[in-house]
Order: sequence, then C-alpha cells, then structure tokens
Amino acid sequence: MVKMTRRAVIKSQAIAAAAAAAGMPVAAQNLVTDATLTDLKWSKAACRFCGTGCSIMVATKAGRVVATHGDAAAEVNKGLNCIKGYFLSKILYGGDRLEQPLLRKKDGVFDKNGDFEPVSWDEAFDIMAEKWKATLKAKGPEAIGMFGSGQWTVWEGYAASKLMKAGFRSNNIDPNARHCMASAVVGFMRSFGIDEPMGCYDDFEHADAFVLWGSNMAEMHPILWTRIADRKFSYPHVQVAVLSTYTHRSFDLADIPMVFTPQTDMILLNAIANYIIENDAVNKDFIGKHVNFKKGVQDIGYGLRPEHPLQQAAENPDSGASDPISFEEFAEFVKPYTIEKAAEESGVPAEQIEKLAKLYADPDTKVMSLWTMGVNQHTRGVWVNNMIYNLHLLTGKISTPGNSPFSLTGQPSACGTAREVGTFSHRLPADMVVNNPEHRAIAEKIWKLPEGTIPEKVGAHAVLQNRKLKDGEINCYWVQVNNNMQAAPNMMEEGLPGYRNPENFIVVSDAYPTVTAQAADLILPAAMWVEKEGAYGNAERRTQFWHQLVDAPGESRSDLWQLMEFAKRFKIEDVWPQELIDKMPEVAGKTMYEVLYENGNVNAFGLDETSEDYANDESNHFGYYVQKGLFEEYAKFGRGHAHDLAPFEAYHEARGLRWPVVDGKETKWRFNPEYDPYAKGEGWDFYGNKDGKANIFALPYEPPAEMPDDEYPLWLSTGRVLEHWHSGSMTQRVPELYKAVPDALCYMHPDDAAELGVRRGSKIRLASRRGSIETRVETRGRNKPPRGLVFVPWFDASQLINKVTLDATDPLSKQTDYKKCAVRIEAV
Amino acid sequence: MSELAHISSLLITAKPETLDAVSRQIESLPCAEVAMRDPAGKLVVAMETETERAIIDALDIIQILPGVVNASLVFHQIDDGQDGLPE
Repeated sequence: MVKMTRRAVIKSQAIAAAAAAAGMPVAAQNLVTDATLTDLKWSKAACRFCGTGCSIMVATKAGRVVATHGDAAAEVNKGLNCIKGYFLSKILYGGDRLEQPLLRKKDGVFDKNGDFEPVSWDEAFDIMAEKWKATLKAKGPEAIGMFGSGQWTVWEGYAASKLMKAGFRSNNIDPNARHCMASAVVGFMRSFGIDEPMGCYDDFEHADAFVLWGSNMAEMHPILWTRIADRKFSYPHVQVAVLSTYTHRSFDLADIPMVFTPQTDMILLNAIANYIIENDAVNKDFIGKHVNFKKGVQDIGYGLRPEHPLQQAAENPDSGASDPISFEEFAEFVKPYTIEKAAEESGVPAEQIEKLAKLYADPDTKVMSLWTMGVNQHTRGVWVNNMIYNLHLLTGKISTPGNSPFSLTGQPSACGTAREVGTFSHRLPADMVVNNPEHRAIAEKIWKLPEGTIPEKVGAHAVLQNRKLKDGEINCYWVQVNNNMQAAPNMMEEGLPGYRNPENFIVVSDAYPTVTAQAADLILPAAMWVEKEGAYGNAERRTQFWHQLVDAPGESRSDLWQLMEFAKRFKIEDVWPQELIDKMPEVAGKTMYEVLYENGNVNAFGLDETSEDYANDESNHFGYYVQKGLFEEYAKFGRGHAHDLAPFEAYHEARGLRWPVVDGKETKWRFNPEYDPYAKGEGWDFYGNKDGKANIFALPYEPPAEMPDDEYPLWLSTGRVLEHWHSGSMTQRVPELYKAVPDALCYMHPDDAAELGVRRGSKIRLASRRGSIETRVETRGRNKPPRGLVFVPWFDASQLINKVTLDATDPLSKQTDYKKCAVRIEAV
Repeated sequence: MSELAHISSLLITAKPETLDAVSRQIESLPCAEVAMRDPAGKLVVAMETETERAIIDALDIIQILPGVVNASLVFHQIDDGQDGLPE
C-alpha cells in the first residue's frame, strides 16, 4: 500500500518536472531536487558532450553519480536533456576505465614494441621527463608537441598552453577543435576581427526564419532544435530551410528542403548575394556605414603536403590575402552566379533557391543562419563562413534579436577553452596571436616572464603535427582528452605511422583505452567531468562552472594535475636558454612549475576560499585554490578588452554568463550599442576591426580536392548520429546507447545499392585511394543520401572511416574536409 | 519485496497537427501514458518500466514516430519500494 502511494508520488514528480520543462502550468515545480524524498545530493554541472552547453543537475550518493536530469533553471536547455546527456552519469563507470598509468615494457624496461604494463606515476613521469629532456637537448623545443581538446576545462587548456608556449617554449600545441571549429574562427577573424558569434540562443525566440547550412541539428543539437520547433509551432509564419548533401532528420521540419551537390554551397551563397543585389534588397545605409568590400585571392590549394600535385598546381597556396574593392565591383563579381546557374550546378530546383534567397532579401524577415561541420570541414570552409556573413551584412541582418549568423560548435568547450584560452598553435588568450610582438609582450607581462619567452613562430597545427610525427620532426608528444588517432584523417598514411615511428615517444591521457591510447607508448589515467572542478564555455559565449562532485577512480588524476605535476620535473635551466634566464635572474634554479604556477597569480588564493561542500583534489594537492588562481590570471587577458569574464565566484552561482560580462551584466548581442557596452555610436560598431567595420568578401566557387571519377565513383561524407558523440569513446561505454546504434553503417540510396548488387544489411568494402573499411549497407535509415553519395558516421572504433578520408584541409584554417572524398564500394 | 520500478517522464515535441496520432501511438505502448498535452506541440509522457532498457526502447520508438521532432527524457528515478513516504 505504502509502495503504491510512493510510486504515485514519484510519478507525479516526474510529470511535474516534464511539464515545467515544457513551460506548462503545474502546481508544484522543481520537486525533482527535493532531497528529503530522494536522499540525493543534487548539484549543477555543464554537460560533458556537445557545444550546446546544457546545464545538468547531477545527483550523487555515497560518492557516486547516480542520476542526472536537465536543469530547469538553465536558460539554455530549460530542463530538457538529450539522450546523451541523460546517460551522463554512466560515462564515468565504463568497465574498462583506466585506473593506473600503463607503459609499454619488455623485460622490465620501456620498449616501444613492448606490452602495456602498470607503472607508478613516478615511473611514468620519470620516463616522460627523460624523453622530453633528451629531445630538448638534441633538437630543441620544436621537437616537442601537444594535442589537446575542446573538452579540456578552461583552466586545463590554460595551464597546458602556458606549459607549452612559455615553459617548453614550443607553439606546437593544438586542440582537436582544429578539426571542428578552425574555419569558423578564421571566418570570424576575417569578417569581424574578433572571434565567436555576435548573437546568442535568445535569437531562437526572435527569428522568423532559420537556415541550416549543412547542419543536422535534429540529431546533433537536439535541445536547440527543440527551441526552433517551439518557435515554429507557436508562430506559424516561421520558416525553416534545411540544406545538406543528403536528407536527414532535420528535413522533417523543413519548409524549404534542399539537397545539393557537395561544394556547390559556394555557388548557392553567391547566387543569393546576387539575388539580393539584383532585387534591390541591399541595406544601403548599413553597408555605407558599417561594411568594407574586399576581394580575396583565389586558387589557394588544399592544405596538402607541399609536394602534392594539387598544392604545386595552386597559384596562391595558403594565402588569405585580399584587396579592397567597391560595392559595384562586388556586385559585378557575383553577377555570373544566377539562380539558374546555381540550380544547374547544385541540383536544387531554382524555385527552392529563390524561396531561400527571399528569406534573406525580405527586410521584414529576421533570419538566423546556423552551421557546423558541413561548413567548417570544407576545403573552402573559411570562405563559406565569410560568404554566409556576406548575406547578413548586405542586408544589415546582424546583431539584433533574431538576425543572427550563428556558428554552432561541436565540443563542450571549443569556444571556452580552445578558442578563448587560445590553445591553437598560433594563438594566445583573448584572440591574441603568437606572431604579434605586442601580443607576446602582453602575455609575458601577465605571466611575469622575461621578454622573449614565447616563441614567435606559429607552431604545428593538428594535421601538420601528424605529418611531423611521421617525418620524425616532433618526437615527444602528449595527447589529452581526445581520440585523435580515430579522429584525424588519412590514418594509415599519416596518423599511425607517426605514433609508431621508433624515434617518437607518445603519451596519451585518457579515461578509457581509446584507439589513440592503444597507439601510444605511455597511457596516463585521467579524471573526467565531475571528478574535478571545471569550467566550459559554450557556443553562445556562455561560461559555466561545476564543482568536483565525486572522486576519480584508482590512481586517475585530472589533466590539470598531470600538467602541473609534470612541470615539477624540469628545472628552468632544462627548458630555457641561459640568455633568457639572465633577463630574470630570480628564476634561476627554480622548477618550471614554480616559474609558471607559483608566480603570485596562480597561487594567490588559499584553500580557505574553496567550497566547504565539495572536494577539490588539485587544490588540496598543490596547497592553494588552483582553479581560481588560473582563472583569475587568465581573466586578466580579456578584462577591459571586450572579452571580460565575471569574478570567479559568480560562475559557481549562475547557470553561466555570456561574455563580455561588464559590471556584472552579460552581453547578448555584441556590436550593437543597445546591448554591448563596448559598441559605441549609433546602429552598429564592429569594434573587432580598427575602423569599426565588418568585411564582405568577394570569393568564387573553387572545386574540392577530390571528386568522384570512373575509378572512385561515389562521394563519401562522414559525420555523427544522435546517440553517439564523436569517436564514441564515452558513449559506446553506455550499454543503452551502444545497443541503440551498435555499429556504424554505410547509408546509401537504394538504387545505388541495387546497381552494386547489394542490399540492406549486405557486407561491403568501402575504399578510397588511401585505405578501406568493411561495413554494412543501410538503405532505409534516418539518413537518406541522394544517388552518388554515401554517408558513414565515424564513432565506431571497429570501423575506422578515417582510414579512407583525405587529409585535405582548408588552406587558411588548416581544418580537414571530412565531408568530401571519392570512394568505391564492392560487395564482400 | 517486489522488483524495482523505473519511473520516468519524457517531454515530446511534435508537429501540432500530429499530436492526436502521436498520442494514440504512445498510449498503445504498454509502459507509457500521455499525462499532459499542449496544443502548441508538446506532450508529457509518464512511464513506469521494469528496466532502464525499456525506457530507451520506448524512446527509440517514439523518436521515429511521424511528426515527432524530439523526445527528451526529463526525469528518471529508480524506486526500490523499500522506503515509506517521506515525513
């Protein structure tokens, strides 16, 4: 009897929670967090998965995470939670979680061809330091490299960047965000002179039209997709255009569905620009006051090795140069891109293209453009970013509620860590770059280091790091929080030979034995997510914190602990030349750890400032509030420079704040004086550029690096599915997610399958010029390619599609194009 | 004592014109009931299942119903039936 009543109570709670998330009226709200009923401790945390940045309530009991649910107090997700987020609690408890360091050994000593054996942290750091010191001595800092992540917490990325750029004095540090966001970053810098979206998620409730350029938000950003659906269902005039190279779930909501031939997005964009001009829809006042026109150089190559024939044939390889032009010249430039031409090249009916063009051209339609990997993983990704901004700038539809070109992100802290902290090989915090002497001087001053500490040369980016490993030019390499062996392109020709090069020592910090960890020489077990105090920054500039809620298992330690502890293994004399030390004699004899982290900034806050309610393993270990010290030192870069972060404590209270946070107030729409304290004057102020103007670029269509031909007649596009996040190293450990989509499939058109003599479920070999995999055919799934194109998701470690992909990159952003290469398929 | 019960709620976003059909199909699942509905395209579904797996199976089915835009799990609690009501 009691039991039944209790269940009824729980059920009414469940209903109340869902109703609250839907905004439906209910009597009692937020019963979920009623600890008296559940005996659980609930705390907030940012979700570990994608770049949406949902806030999650996490319940712990007896030192374990036992439940999670969407945070009703969070503006981002309003109590909702996607299927990945729902199972967050389980990612910590996979059966094969790594709990101690593992070193390849034979006969008791390190051997590159030995088997992994458990070792102590001391032995692990001993061999690491020995290798690092020997390499530094023999070849100098450029032979040291690090590959990090948009999943690093803010302070981990910051500590790593400092360790590499100031400690080891090597700029060979890059995040996996290079594969994900680099084209977006360069696009922002070229158009606006400052990184990250001007608008925010509030635009979802203001826009009249949503245009998805290649993005499958229904599966990849389901919580944001729900906000679009809510807007559309409540306001029937709202239109949704979905553009992709194959039909997917987002098309269910599309008023304007458009499946286009790969790479012809560039033609469509120029055709829309032309339509806007020819139909007198240009906002002349806006472009007169706020826009410069420029013509970019053309024929810029494909970011391949310099000896590659395609590189040799390029007239201006890797050039982002441009010349000023007039509006009239721009109009002339796009004139050949007619709707008819676009229809012919893209395969999209002309009336559909015109419908889309009208959304942009109509001055009364507020448009939000959204994109992710389809645009960024593109050999002309930077250009496509610029070309999307062109449409918003021609019409003045920008930086006002609902008018929003919005670059979505894939990783939880691609913005917060990779971009804002500047863990790229060319970057410093707050959009500064290593090859600018003024920027280096600012960093050296904040870091209290002698002038000349940070090297000027831009380091090796992700794809170049793999090439340099293969060529034996980078010999000591540390990978944290990512699975780059599986994620990087052309694995058999570049990735694996680099890791297994006998000259190299590869260290991988991870929570699970990923493909990358298994290719390493030393594996360091990592604490993850709520096993440490953390901070992430999402796609709308929102910085969010969480506390350490549980202890990490076994001997696993956070990346932060690993980075700082490893720094203790070096005297400053081991890493800096004497002439640099002579500029600041007080550092002589100190450890690198002392110079970088016990500098009066990072160790400025005592343990008494840490929370009484939560553990903090790193702070207790080092003896001061490490996270706060790192954050406050980092925040000095941005405060007063349009990247202002709030005081540290504010983030433990709020469900995140969108920077710049000035006088305690977040900024929703940048460049708009009504909302952004940095914007001056009337209308708009694109203050990222010195003249206060944004740039429109005249850029042509250029073909992709590889197209289908007689030998390899099909396009291959790769991507994700809802249930799995990226390489699946976490989600494949959740049984429920694994069963939902156990193995990757090759999605193809039934007619293509029939022509190949295969059926749904048939085993096939899919081959490119670089490698092949075996997989199975799916002709009925959620993804429906047109004839001539196949789609394979990349989460499955047993079917490594990156054996097949091409390592062509955008020449400006160095981001790989995973969406286009030529393959052939045969029955097995 | 009796077996565990998994009590959960889902929030379904669906095209408004399909709400009737979607509701009927959800009600036909043995473990699910439509508890609330908003004509603008929302359904609150309460579920009581014997296993967590069953929640996912139901979610899989619901996700691909025609008209469904998204299905979110909002709440989940395992009731072991051991405790009485709170004070």
